[in-house]
Amino acid sequence: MTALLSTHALVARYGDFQALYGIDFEIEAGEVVALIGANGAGKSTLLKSIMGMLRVAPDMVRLEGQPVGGSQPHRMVSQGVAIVPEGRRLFTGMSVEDNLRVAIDHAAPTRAGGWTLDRVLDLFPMLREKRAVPVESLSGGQQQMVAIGRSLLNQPRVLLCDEISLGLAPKVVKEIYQSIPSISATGTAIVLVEQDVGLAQSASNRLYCMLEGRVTLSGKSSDITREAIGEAYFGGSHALA
Amino acid sequence: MTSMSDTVAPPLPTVHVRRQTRSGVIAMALGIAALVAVVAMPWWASQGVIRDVVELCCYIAIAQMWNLLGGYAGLVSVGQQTFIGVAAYFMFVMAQFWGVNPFVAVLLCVIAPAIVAVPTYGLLHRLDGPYFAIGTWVVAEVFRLGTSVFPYVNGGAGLSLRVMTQYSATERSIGISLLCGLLLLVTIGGSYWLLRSRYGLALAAMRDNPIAAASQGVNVGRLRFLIWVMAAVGTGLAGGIYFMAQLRITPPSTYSPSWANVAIFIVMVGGLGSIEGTLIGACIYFFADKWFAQYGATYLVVLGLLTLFVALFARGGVWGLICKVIDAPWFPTRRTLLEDRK
Amino acid sequence: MHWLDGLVQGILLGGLYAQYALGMALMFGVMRIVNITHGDLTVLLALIGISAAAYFSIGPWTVLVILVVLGGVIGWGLQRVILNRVVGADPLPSLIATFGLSVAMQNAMLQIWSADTRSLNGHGIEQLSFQVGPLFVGVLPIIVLITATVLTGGLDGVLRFTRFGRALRASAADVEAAAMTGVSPKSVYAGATAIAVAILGFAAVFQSLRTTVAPSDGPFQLIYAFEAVIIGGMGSIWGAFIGAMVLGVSQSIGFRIDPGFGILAGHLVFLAVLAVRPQGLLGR
Repeated sequence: MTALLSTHALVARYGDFQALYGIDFEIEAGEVVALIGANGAGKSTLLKSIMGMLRVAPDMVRLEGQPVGGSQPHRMVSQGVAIVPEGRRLFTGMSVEDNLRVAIDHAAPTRAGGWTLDRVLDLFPMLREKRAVPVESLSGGQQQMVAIGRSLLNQPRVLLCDEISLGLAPKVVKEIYQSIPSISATGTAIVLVEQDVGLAQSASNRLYCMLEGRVTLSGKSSDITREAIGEAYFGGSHALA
Repeated sequence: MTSMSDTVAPPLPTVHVRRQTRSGVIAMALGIAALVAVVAMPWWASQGVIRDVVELCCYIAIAQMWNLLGGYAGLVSVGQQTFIGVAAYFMFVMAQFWGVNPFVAVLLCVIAPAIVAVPTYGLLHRLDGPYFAIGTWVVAEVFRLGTSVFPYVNGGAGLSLRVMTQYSATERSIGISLLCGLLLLVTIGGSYWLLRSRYGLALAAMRDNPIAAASQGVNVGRLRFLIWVMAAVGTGLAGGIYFMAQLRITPPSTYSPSWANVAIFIVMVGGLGSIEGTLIGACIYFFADKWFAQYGATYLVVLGLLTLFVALFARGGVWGLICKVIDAPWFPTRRTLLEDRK
Repeated sequence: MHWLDGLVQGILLGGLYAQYALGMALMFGVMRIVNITHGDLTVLLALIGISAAAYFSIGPWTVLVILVVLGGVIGWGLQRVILNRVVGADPLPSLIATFGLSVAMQNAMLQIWSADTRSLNGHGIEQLSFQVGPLFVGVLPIIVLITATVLTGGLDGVLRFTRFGRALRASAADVEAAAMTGVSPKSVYAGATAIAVAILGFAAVFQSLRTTVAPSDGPFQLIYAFEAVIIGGMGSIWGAFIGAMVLGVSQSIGFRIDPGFGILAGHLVFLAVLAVRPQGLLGR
């Protein structure tokens, strides 16, 4: 069965620097897959390659088997892939509602049971009273909610989340992660790039661990041991004996 | 457990840093020869040739100063004519009204652009790139308009350098040839010296990535300001020399935007950020002007389109294209690490 | 009365300058590009309009419609063919590219239309005026001011309330994030430039009705637009409008002090604002 989103021997470069050395990745509808690894492992690069922000060969990224690698980011959105970018990247100077409306304006074709402004505000109730407020004045957690809401309003079949817990208090992170199951329940596939290994494991069905541009471990989140993660995270040859 | 003493680092190779290349040595020799030829013009060149060479040297100087600003300091200016004008006017005032020896006046006139450079930078440096450029243009316009209504310098009617009549043609030729040589030495030689010094490294870093350069300790703001003032001085010196040869100034001729056009064309077509580019571009412009200016506006259309084309498709200019094929700099600034061979 | 007259005429002049400034504020706000051909495009449109009016015997308001549409097309084409290649963090390529194009355009227009100054036949509207107290106010300048106000308000409204306006503001805030949210940057840019040059269609008609137009006028319009945007404050559409008013009034009052001083007065006020309040009057 063809996966909803998959990468095949994905190679990516920043100029002369090679960041990814042949990544094989796949995700099905409704799955939550976590991507863990140390800084510089290539997790964000993988998401960016999928989203079209880096040039890759067309066949290396496939959506339902169709090659989409190297497409422009806005084309990926219209195909049903959305990203919650690292650092949120909200539109400063615009209100919360306007930020969300931009996504609505440019969403992929809506499926039945799609996201509406109301449903997003139901998901994150504390945004309701902040609709007209400029996004810069929100707290970090609220901004993250707006960022997620914005991506959801793109009506994605695959949602790429790049470090959504970064810089947030544990309580806030917990709140945000509580929304993940409701999102995947609608059939949306979610890729979670996450620094917090425990959080990644508990929130996902499967996980991949990356190191220096390669996948060092993959499997069901519930089956993988801490030791296996430790080896894959830091690399066996680097461990002090 | 492996012990530390089991791993021994291999011995480091002995290396040296090479800064000069063969092409650089050849170019240096040719350059010195050219400089001598310029200074010796009164003995081998006709008046017409001297006029042409002076003009070419001024173009080279002004273009190279623009090159330093735009190609290294990240300051794109379309108003360098401000400094040409204030220097030329100051020179005329000193020589004609204050009785200063005109050749000395040319050397002293750079004080004016140096002074003007300070407040103009203060006003403009907070503006974003393109707005900075137009701001420099506004400043030039302010000077042009102000000079036109300034009775001391005869307003719009301009001034003539009548004191030059007290010198014979030969004396004038010698004076201007020397000044030309000095101009080339200061602008081209000075640029090369600057680029080879540690400031050169800082400039190259600034050109590539100002933020990264600042993080490495380069004082970007101060360096930019220094380059701005130096470029003003170099441009002003060229202006003083050019108008001494012309013997006459008016506000529209000195503060003319076509100086900016010429500088931009020369540097962009020749090759931004390289001295070689300036020289190539100046020669291209000079000969194109000589041969095609008769076609008036059409010729300028071609110049404009050429600049557009270069900005879109060949940002490194002619020198950039040459560099893709062969690596033979005339003004080498790179440091190459070479291993000593036994 | 001298001063009041200067003030009123200045505000009316500001109405024209606002029409130059709006497009520039829009393009810089979204793309961080200053189009050096901004003024030359106005002159081009004006010359085309004048020639068309003479050749086809059409009135100024028909010319206006033609020029606004033509402006939109030219702007769209300019963006797609040239400016899209030079949008980016580095300001140099767009500056040099539009600079070269400006030189080419001015000289091409010189070849085609010669250096003669021309104006548009307004069939009498240039002379109409009415009296308000001790002042005589021209009908045309009032029309220009009203048009400028409507255009500014309209543009502001488009930015605030329409799909395109939101996409434009998002691209101005963070173009990469906008692309990730589904906005096509190239389309947004083309639209912005099309609107900017279409507005210049208005300016072209009013300028050629009000006074004469010559191929070399472009740089001056560019400078006035730029000064208006800086005085008013970048990032603000109404700022461009206010800045244009201030510039118009400065020039007008300066002109009344001494006819040779008018333009210079405008420059000096601009430099003063730059020295004292560099973020502009309405800038943050």
